Amino acid sequence: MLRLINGKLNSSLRLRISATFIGLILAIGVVVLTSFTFLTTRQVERTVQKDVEATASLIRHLIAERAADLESRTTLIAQLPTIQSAILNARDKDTVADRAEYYLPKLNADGLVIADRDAQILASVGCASRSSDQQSSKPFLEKALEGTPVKGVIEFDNRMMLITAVPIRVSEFVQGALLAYSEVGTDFARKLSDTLSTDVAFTLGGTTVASSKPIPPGLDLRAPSPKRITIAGVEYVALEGSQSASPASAPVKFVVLHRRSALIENFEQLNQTFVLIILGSILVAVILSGRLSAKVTRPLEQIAAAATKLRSGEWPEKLDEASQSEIGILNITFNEMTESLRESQQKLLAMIDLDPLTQLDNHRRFKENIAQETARGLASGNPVSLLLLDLDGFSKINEQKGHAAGDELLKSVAELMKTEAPDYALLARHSGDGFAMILPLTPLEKACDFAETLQFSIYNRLALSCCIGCAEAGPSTLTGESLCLAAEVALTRAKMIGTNQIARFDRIPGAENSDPYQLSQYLQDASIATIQALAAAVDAKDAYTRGHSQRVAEFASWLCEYLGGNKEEVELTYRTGTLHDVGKIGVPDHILNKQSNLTDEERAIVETHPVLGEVIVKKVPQLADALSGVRSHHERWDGNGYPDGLAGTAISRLARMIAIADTYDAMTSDRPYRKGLDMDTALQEIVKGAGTQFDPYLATSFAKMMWERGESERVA
Amino acid sequence: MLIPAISIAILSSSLVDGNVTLSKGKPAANAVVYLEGDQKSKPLAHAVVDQRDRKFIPHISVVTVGTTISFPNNDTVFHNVFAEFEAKRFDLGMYPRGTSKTVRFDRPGLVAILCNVHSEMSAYVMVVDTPYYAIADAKGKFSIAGVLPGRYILRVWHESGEIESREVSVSSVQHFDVTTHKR
Repeated sequence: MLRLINGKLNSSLRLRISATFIGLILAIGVVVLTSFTFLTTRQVERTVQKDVEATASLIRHLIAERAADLESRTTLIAQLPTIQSAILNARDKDTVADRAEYYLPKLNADGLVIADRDAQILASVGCASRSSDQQSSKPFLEKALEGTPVKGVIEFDNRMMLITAVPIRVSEFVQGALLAYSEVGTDFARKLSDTLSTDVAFTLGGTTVASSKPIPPGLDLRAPSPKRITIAGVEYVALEGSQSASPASAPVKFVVLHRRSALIENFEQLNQTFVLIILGSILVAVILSGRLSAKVTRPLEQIAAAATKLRSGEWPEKLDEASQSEIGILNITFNEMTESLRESQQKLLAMIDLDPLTQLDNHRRFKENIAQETARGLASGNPVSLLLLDLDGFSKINEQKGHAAGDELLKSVAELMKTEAPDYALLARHSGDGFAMILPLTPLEKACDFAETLQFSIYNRLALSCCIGCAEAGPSTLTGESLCLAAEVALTRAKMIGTNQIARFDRIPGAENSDPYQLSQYLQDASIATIQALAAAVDAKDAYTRGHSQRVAEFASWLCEYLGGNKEEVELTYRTGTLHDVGKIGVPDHILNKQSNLTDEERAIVETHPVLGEVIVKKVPQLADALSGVRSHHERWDGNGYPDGLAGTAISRLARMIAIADTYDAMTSDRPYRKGLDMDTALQEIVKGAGTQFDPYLATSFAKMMWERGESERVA
Repeated sequence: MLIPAISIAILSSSLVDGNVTLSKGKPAANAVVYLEGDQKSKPLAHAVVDQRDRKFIPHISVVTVGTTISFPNNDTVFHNVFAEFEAKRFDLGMYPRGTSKTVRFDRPGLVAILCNVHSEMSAYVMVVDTPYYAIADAKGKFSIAGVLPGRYILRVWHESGEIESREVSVSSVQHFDVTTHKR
């Protein structure tokens, strides 16, 4: 994959195409050259054989001619009257010898012998003068004396001789014989060599007896078929031939020596030309293959580059679509793919930011905006407010009129919000039927005005009611998230009170300046210490309930421990006790701190606090096990409690314990309008409420435990 | 002198005849047969070796010592008659038709006569010093008449080179079958 992306494959592709091309040409070249060399060699061998055979045949012819010539000359001389008379006058040997000497050069022979009819040698001249040599010629002489001319080859003194013997006749009678020798020797070989332009050697039983060129002794020249022989560094092709002077006599053996270089000269030139042609072809192939492969790979490289660019997150430029080839199709397809990818991405990006139905910012975008605007507002000292709007009974509309109608309604609300909101407001669809409006530079009061106007418009134009929660960024809501939570708490409260309500999240008075503990902090760090601090901050809203959460936590956890709860259960109970009134953060201070009796409306607001607490605690996943204790700590055993009116064991045990602890602490605490009860009275009240307000077992156990504790304290 | 001699001869002479056969069994045609004894010969008055149709005629002739042989050229071409032999060496040179040259043979022996121009021409002249000689016919048959009884050497020569010689005693009619042999 990496290779692909880095574009290395393309270069190697180009290399491979070139290599394949060149390899192919090379292979063809090698094959052609090899076959050519093979054919050439064969042709050379054939040519040599033919040439040598032709030469050999010529030599045979020349030898035969020479033999015939010798014979005819000898025959002629044998008929001369001077020879006839000399033979008849046999006793005059000097005369005979003179005659022999005289005729030797005329014979063009190397030796001449004159014998009488009794085979007595009358004269022998030239090479035939030694009697030892004459032994080999005796059969020829005898044959001639019988009247038959005869010729052949004899060897003497390691020389090869053509011999011819003819009878000397006077009248019809043979009176003697004439023997002529002609040496087949170096002179003859040279003469042949001059005539034939090739070297010739004569052999006798494998031994070279004469040659036109010096042959090293011991070199075996026998070559029934053409064979290569190197003489003095020169390569020859040798072929043996033979010729009989007459059918009966021993043949003359000769070896034709052809210079190989002369024979194959033409072929070698051809060969060289061929090699040059092939080298040229390879060069052309290299250039062509380079171009060809570049032509093939360049578009691929461009596509690869575009793909790499695409991978790195950039949009590549459009590829050339002009080509009619597959590359063109590839480019068009790639362009289309890129285009559709771009469109999809844009859609996706739009989807990330925009709610497709209402075309308002979506929840994600809203989160970003709220964080940004909150930070901006706090940094610049300008107020930032947030409205959260929730349509009342929207799920019923969906159920009754269908989702399409519901969607249309949501769209209408969005449109209306757009027209009603100031230009600087940031609108978002916050949840299914919830909308958000971020109002930079707007203090809470003004934001609440906007909320009222909006609520009024929605009600008037669309005949819909909605609840709106308002909150402003401030010391207790330093982040977007905490501002959201505050608005959410306010909204929850509004919805709990009724329909078409607006609720605002008031600042926590104690946390305004010195108290660093705030919702945002709480949301970031859900430790016991943070929770306690938050609870303390909540308690601080009501001067008379200071330390309340802490005490409830302690009483409840004591009870849990008293009833055999393990360490974890005890701790959970303590934690939940600490948190149980955290929802009061969303109850306006003037209601919480009201010294007189609360109106029904005010009571309703106060009674939202368990749910508001649940909303807040829900934001911290680690505190999930405390939720039931927070939400249900105002439920009653007989089902007359709030917010859900649960009864008996439907109320979680945690909530039941906290309810007892809460009530006990409330009774024993001083209130602006009454003094706190003493322990015994309070416990009696708790026991009294067992089975109605409280879980009877827990209530009696609590009383028992507290008494026991009081007893032990007293003893101590 | 001559008549009594003849009569004596008639009275006392014998006929010597016979056959000559060559060593290979063939009849020795034209073989020269002669008897050497005490009787000396007289030169012949006339002997001719003619030249016609590129031939010497006769091919073989026998003459006695002192005989002069004339070599007339009766042919249509020039001839150069020469001899090169122990008995006589001569070269008559070229001479034209119608002319003749003579040579006297003083010593006994064989003379081979050749023509320098025509190698196919040859003739033999046997010069003998005896009155008793003959040339065998084609069948090798010879006969010599008027041979005085006595001891002789019978000699035979044939142109093939085969010869024979033997001592013979002649009385009345004598018949010899002779076989020649190589030298």
